[in-house]
Amino acid sequence: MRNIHIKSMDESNLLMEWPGAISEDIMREIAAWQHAIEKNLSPIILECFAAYRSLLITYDHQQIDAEDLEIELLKLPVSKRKLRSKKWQVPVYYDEEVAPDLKKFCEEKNLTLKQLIKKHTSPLYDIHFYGFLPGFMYLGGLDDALGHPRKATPDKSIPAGSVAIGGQQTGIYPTTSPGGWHVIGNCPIKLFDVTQDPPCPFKPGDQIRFKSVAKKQYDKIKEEVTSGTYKYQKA
Amino acid sequence: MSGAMIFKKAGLHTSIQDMGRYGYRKYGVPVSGSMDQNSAIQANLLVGNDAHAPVVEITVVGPTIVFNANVNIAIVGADLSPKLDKKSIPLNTRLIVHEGQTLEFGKCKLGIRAYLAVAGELDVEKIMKSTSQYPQITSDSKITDGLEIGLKNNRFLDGVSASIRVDKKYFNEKALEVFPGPEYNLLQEEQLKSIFEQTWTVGPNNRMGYQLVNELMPGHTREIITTQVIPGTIQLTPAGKLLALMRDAQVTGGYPRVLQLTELSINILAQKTERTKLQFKIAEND
Repeated sequence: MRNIHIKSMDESNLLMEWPGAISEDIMREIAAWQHAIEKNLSPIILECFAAYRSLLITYDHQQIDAEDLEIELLKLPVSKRKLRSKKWQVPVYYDEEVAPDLKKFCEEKNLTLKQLIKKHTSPLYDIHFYGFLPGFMYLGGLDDALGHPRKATPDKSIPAGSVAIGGQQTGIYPTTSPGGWHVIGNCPIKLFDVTQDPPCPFKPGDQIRFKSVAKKQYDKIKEEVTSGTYKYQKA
Repeated sequence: MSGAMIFKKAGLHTSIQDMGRYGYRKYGVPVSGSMDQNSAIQANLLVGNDAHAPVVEITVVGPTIVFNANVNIAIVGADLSPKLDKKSIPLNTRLIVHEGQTLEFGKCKLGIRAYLAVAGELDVEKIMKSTSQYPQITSDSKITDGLEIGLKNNRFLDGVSASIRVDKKYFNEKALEVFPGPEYNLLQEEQLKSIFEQTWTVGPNNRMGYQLVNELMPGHTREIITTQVIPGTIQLTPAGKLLALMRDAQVTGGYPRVLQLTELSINILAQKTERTKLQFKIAEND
């Protein structure tokens, strides 16, 4: 089965692991597996969720054991076709007013603000999976030139919406939390809403592109989000 | 109309928990649920509830609850010296509480988490298919002073009693059973020796995780790509500490997952307090 390793974690969790580096191909293959599992095995599966190179399956051990589940998995019709994904536009206000680390980050990376914005808004980022915090997207596709080691001492409180870079990754803090990444901007839209099902507007496998917005636009979007009239934009 | 239960005092950390919030980890939402699920299930069964019904999880210092209705309750788990109108009441027993009576707790004698079940359906908020309280998912992350909780389908029965025997061994157990974790093979011989031949001490802990400490354990510098963790996953930190993730743990992590607690051992660990000495042993494969 294409070099996938299946390991039992405990009495009710199975881990499927893909070898090799993080890639869009593996992300799509994992998504296809997840789709097939959810579609075909849902009565015996409590849930399954992905990370960069793995899929974790929580099953009902009163209905099936690990060995039989593995046999069921091998029989699954996993589509080779790409699952449909959407491209979304995510507004970001790149300004010191909302991003205390912005100036220092540009200095340390020897970039002008304009260059930073261009490099950060150019790629189409893959949403590999959610983790760390409810609504936190693990994104693939950051420009190597923007990679920057995490802060030695994490900040105690990073405001919700903060767009940040840490190591070779970029992300948005959906809620206020401690964190060690460098904040370079703020995103005014809601990325996690408990009143919605699903609670996140974007799906794993979708792609996002950041769009630089000026203060006026940022404030306008914030108002729309508060009043519930904001519409998520396609990229 | 006021609720059937009024929390005059909330206690140290009292919260509503069920068996967890499944189906939302793909959006980064932790599972949550009762820390010691064995005890929570037994409390529910004693009062005739569904095993997975919401219960009140009580930690170390219990709440003061005034009941506004005749109800049947059961308390299973830690012995936090429960008293009804100042009189001691037994654990592991279906009890009758009359309207106006006050449930209080005293000294924490054995274990640290007790589960209170009430016959009927606690009228609590359900978010994403679960009533388990968790910050920024439910309106409140725990029960606060003055909170009132209603009871739907109160199935109060006068005169019907039931009790179960719970072996004290459950609370005094010193051995945690583990499966090898996905990164077990990263462990060096000396680290394996530290894990399986030496004693570990419970460090700071909460609903997210338990730090387990052994000064002799060598550290490491191995990082792994961010990947899934589950309740019971034991991570090895660079400083050589073990971090046993519990019910409220994040869904992903970047430290090697060297061990995985059995479901029973998660429940056993959930009753441990700081400075308790523990050992690890490999679980028999089922």
